[in-house]
Amino acid sequence: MKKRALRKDFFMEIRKSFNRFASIFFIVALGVAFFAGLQAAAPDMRSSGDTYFDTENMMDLKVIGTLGLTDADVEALEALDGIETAEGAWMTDVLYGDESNQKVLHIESIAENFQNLRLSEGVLPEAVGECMIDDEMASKMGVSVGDVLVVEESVDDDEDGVLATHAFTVTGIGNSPYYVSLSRGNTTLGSGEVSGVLYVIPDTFDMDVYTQIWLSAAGAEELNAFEDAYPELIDQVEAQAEGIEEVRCQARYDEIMEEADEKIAEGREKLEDAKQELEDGKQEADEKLAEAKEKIEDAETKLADGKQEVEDGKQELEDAKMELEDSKQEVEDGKQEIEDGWKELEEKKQELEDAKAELAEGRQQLDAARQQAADGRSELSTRQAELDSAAAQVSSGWSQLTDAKNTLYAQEEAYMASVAQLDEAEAALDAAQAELNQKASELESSKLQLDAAWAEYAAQKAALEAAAGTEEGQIALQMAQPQLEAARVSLESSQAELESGQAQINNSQLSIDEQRASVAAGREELVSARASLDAAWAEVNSQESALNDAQAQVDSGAAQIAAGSSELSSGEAEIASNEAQLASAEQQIADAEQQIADAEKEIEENEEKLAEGKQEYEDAKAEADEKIADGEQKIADAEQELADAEAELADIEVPEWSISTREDLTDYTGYGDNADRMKSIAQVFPALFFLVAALISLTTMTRMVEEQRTQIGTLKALGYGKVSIAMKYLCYALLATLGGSVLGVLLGQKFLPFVIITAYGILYPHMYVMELPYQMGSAGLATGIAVCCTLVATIASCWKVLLDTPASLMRPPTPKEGKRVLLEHIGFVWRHLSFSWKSTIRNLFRYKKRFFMTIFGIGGCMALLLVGFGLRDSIMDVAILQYQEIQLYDATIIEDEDATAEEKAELTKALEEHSEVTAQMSVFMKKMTMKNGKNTRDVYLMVPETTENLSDFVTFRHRETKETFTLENQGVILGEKTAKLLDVSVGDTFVIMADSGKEIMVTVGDICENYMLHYAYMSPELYAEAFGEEPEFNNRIFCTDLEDEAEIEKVGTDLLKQDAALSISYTATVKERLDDMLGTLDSVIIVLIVSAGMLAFVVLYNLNNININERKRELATIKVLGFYDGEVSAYVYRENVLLTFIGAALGIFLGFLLHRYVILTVEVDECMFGRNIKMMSNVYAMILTCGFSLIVNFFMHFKLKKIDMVESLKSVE
Amino acid sequence: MSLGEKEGFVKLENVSKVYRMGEVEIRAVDGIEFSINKGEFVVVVGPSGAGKTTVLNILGGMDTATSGRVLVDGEDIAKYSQRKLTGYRRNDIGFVFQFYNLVPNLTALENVELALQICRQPLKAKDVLEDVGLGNRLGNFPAQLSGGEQQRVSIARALAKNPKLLLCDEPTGALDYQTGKAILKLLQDTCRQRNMTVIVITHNSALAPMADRVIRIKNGKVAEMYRNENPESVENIEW
Repeated sequence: MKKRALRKDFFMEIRKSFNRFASIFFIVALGVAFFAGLQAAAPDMRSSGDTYFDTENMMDLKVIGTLGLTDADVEALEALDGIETAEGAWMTDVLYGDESNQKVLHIESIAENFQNLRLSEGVLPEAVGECMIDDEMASKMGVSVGDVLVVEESVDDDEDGVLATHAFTVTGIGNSPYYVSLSRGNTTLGSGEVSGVLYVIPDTFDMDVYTQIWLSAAGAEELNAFEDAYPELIDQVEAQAEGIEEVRCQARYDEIMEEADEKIAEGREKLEDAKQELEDGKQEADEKLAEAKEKIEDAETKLADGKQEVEDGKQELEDAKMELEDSKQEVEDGKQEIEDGWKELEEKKQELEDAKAELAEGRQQLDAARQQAADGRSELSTRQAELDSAAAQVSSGWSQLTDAKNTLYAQEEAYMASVAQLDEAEAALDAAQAELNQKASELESSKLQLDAAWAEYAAQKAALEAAAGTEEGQIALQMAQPQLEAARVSLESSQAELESGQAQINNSQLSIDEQRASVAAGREELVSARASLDAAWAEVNSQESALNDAQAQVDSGAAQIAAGSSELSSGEAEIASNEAQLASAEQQIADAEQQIADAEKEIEENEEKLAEGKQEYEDAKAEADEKIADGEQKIADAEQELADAEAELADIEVPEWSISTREDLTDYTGYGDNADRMKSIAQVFPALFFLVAALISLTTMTRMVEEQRTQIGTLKALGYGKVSIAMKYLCYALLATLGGSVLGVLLGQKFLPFVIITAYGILYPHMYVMELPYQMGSAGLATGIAVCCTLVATIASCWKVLLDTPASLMRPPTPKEGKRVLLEHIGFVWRHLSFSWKSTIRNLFRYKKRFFMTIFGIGGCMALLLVGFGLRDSIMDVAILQYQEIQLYDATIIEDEDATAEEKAELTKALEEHSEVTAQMSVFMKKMTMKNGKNTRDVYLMVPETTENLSDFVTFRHRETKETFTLENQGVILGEKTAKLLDVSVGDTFVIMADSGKEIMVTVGDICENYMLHYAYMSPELYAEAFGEEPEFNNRIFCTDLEDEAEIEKVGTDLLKQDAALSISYTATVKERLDDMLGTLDSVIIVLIVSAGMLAFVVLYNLNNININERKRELATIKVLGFYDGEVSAYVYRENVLLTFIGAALGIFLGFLLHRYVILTVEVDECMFGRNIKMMSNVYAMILTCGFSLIVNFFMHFKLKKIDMVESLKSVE
Repeated sequence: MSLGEKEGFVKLENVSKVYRMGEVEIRAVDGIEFSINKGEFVVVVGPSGAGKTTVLNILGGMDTATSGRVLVDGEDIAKYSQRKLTGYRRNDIGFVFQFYNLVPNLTALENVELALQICRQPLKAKDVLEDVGLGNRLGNFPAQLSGGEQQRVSIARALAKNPKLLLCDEPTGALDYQTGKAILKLLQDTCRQRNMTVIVITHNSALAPMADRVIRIKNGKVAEMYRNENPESVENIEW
């Protein structure tokens, strides 16, 4: 080989100056890695996404029919060229949870060919009543496998639900490619937001027709869904589907119409029937009416009867009432009585109580008495004993007395006998006297008899003698002659006797008189006996009475005892009887109450009877009426039915299809947008690295060429051509660059997309596919740029040297002149600088390449950090500014259009009364298309009810000046971004497309700070003027003083109960999204910090390396002069410090621009991110930059220490 | 011995310096011994590679001796630590380089001041520069000065520190004859006027007559050392 020596020198050079080689190598690697990596990120994201969606059979299109879709539709769609597969499916939204925490869930049938479900836990549902839920729902709501979810369909009362069951057992937890991110779409139910998705088997839906058809486009799988070809293909397929839409819809319409016709026919028939029925009915009705009349009459009769009965009843009732009254009176009385009774009872009770007390007392007394009784008894016994002894005494007294009496009786007897003797004697005397007297009177009577008998005899003798004239009388005289002779004999004897008797009597009279005298003496004797006897008797009697007294005393004692115990018994008996009395009194009261109750019942019964009577009457009447009404109703019904059927017929419209594509999924398009944004960022960030890489190459190569000036001269002198000489440096640079590029591509294209996709993984947790292929395009481009940069830099650095003559090259280069810098002319400042500073400052301006390299490097580092922190600030700003400073309301309630004024008023009331709601306002809010020339935007037009306290809800201010203003009648206030996109400024006019199709010209009154969505504000007066009608306020905005989203949602759920509230949207939801974005940003920020650090290291290391190498002599000299190591380092660091600060200052500016660019790139049309970087972010970035600088300087210190002072003795090369 | 001279102000006793290059041992200085009095103008001569620069480095505290004693004003600097050596360089030594080694970004005055700002008892930079005859070039950058002028700045920088010892490494090596002479004159005058001990290292033996003491070094050893009782003035020397 011709130039082997040269080649050897080349490799030796690399080995010797490996630091230099490495610095080019690494800065190129860094630049290329960044460029190729970021460039690859977007395609990697797309292809990862595409592969994921293809693998999981994500649908390409979805058709929803307003009247449902049939199998025929599925077939028709499948028959289309552009469609590969079509499958019908069902879905519905349901409510879940209790009132205070109601969520909306989306239920979808599992499709066979679409949206593969990936389980993270459990199994797929296999039966009705089983479901799989999505991961986010599981974690957010804390649902786990095995739980049962009970859902509620929101249907009108007269509609049937579409679900076969409402309880679902969770069999699995997983995810579907249809929901790659956190959003689950919107709904008209509940809070308006779908919180989770349930996947169920198709049989769960109890429907005849599909709600949707999934479609996959033929050939779509081969295309990357995030590249242009895919939407083009899908547009074609959509057009095809739309092509058959009309036919299919017509078919569906016809089908329904047919059904409807059938129904109408049925209806007609029914009508006919009804009419017939009506006729029949009328006839029947007539009949029935007649019957009814009859019945009515009967009824009337019955009624009359009934009335009569009622009357009777009433009478009865009256009576009863009277009776009742009476009984009531009675009851009253009774009550009174009872009252009295109660009172009495009370009293009695009282008494009883008293009695009881008394009883108690009595008992006590009794006990006492018992005691007493016992005492008494014992006393009694003693008394008894006493008594007994007394009795014994008495009885002995008695026996004495008896003896005395007996004696007395004997004496008496004797006396009596004497008396009797006397009396006998007297009686005998008397008898004798009497006999005497009798005998005397007998004698007298016998004398008289004798005289009479003599008279009679004479009469008889005369009668007989008189009668002897007569035969009979002769006979009776003859007969009576003896007798008369006997009677005259007897009479003569009796005369004699009488004469003797007279004598005897005289004698007796004499003895009697004598005896009488002796009796009288006896009598006298007796009288004295009597007197003594009487005295004895008196004594006995007195004794007896004394005894009797004693006896009586004894008896009374016994009686007393008996009375005492009987008294005790009777006391007890009295208590018992009192209790019995009380019980009986209560019984009496109960009885009385019962009686009252009975009486009332009786009254009620009577009333019931009365009511029944009336009811009977009413019934009778009603029956009659009903029968009549029935007949009429039937007719009316039939008519109504017919009318309904007709109305229904009129109502049916031709159904429509709504065909949606993946583009209609926000998360899906969001993913694509994110990839696009990544691409835009990839275009600007690496530029910085390349710039720095180029500068580093330039300075490094320049330095190298300068160092080898003599060698170049020698080679030239030896006769080597320029190209051969230059080739060494070019190859050197090329090798370093290519090597760096390869490393950069290898690492960058794997690592950066990995980091970025991983970062986005927070937003798209289920997109597990990560494809990181090497992308030769961007790799080649990056390498090409890097090679160009370094080669141009190398050529530039050797060019001048190569042109020089060998002779001059062999001489040391004329040293660079020290130059005065501008600052020196400001003597005041300059004079106060130390030499080190002076030297430093002059140095800075002396080595311009180094200066620029460093400040670009440091500036780039600073800028990257600022972008990182600034992005955070900006996005955080959106949430904070938009929802804490600009739109102050917490939620918007969308009113039901059909709500009545009352319902709306109720909503107002509910809002006003709700304790958490601090302010509320009606607004008109509608998305309208606004146009200025070619620029059109969909903007929310908001017209407040009043502009008065609008500042409670919305702050209008200029972003830059923070100067606030109000909504005036002159013009519309537009959001800043809206105005920018429409390309209008204050005073310009633009067009609002009204629903009516009218184009309404309005003037921009002002432009306000606004970050999220597009808003235009109009005063109600202006609206009325511009639109020619009053705004219909359709929304409510309200503020709360709550911070917690869940609590605000609770308020919302409360308010949604109002009929007028259709749905609600919370500002917090948007905030959440931003927070998610911030989450992804954190990793982006880390990437930025790491790259910034790497940039700073490479740049500063290079700078220092060059600096030290170039100034070895100078540094050695100052070492010889006696500078300590620290002072030597400081001498060099001053430059670094200064450069770091200058770089950082540039970085702030650069960062500001870069941040602005990134923000503008990253932000979507719907929102404007904050434009400001916070002071603190600047501080952080500065601290980090200085930190990096410090670390490099720290390492440099050791390098400086190693500088040999002997260098100072060497000649200049 | 002239007035103010002091015996053994600088004294090297059996100083050797051995460099190890792998297996090879190079004895740059091999048992050098000499003594210099205070205020002497000493010329160390020898051919290239004789070890004079090593001696200078050791004397100047830029390198340490492998063995032996280096006494400067009674202190054995051979035992000094790096830090102490730095202090020694800082306060006791003035160094004049062959290639001046001025900081290109500082003016003449500033270059002098650079040395002064770290020194304990500096002279006034402006005065020193005037003394070396640069009173009118104070604000010039090294690049704007001729070689001689640059060397004068260098000398001024060394003198301004008011060092104990002024070490000059081939001070005329990069200068033309006339300028070289002028510089040597300046050094000699400085020595005489300031009673400064000046050690000039050169390969030019022609300079020997102007020295108070001549030390001839050969192969790392002192080949010859003698005192000139009557040193020649620079003007009278030709080479």
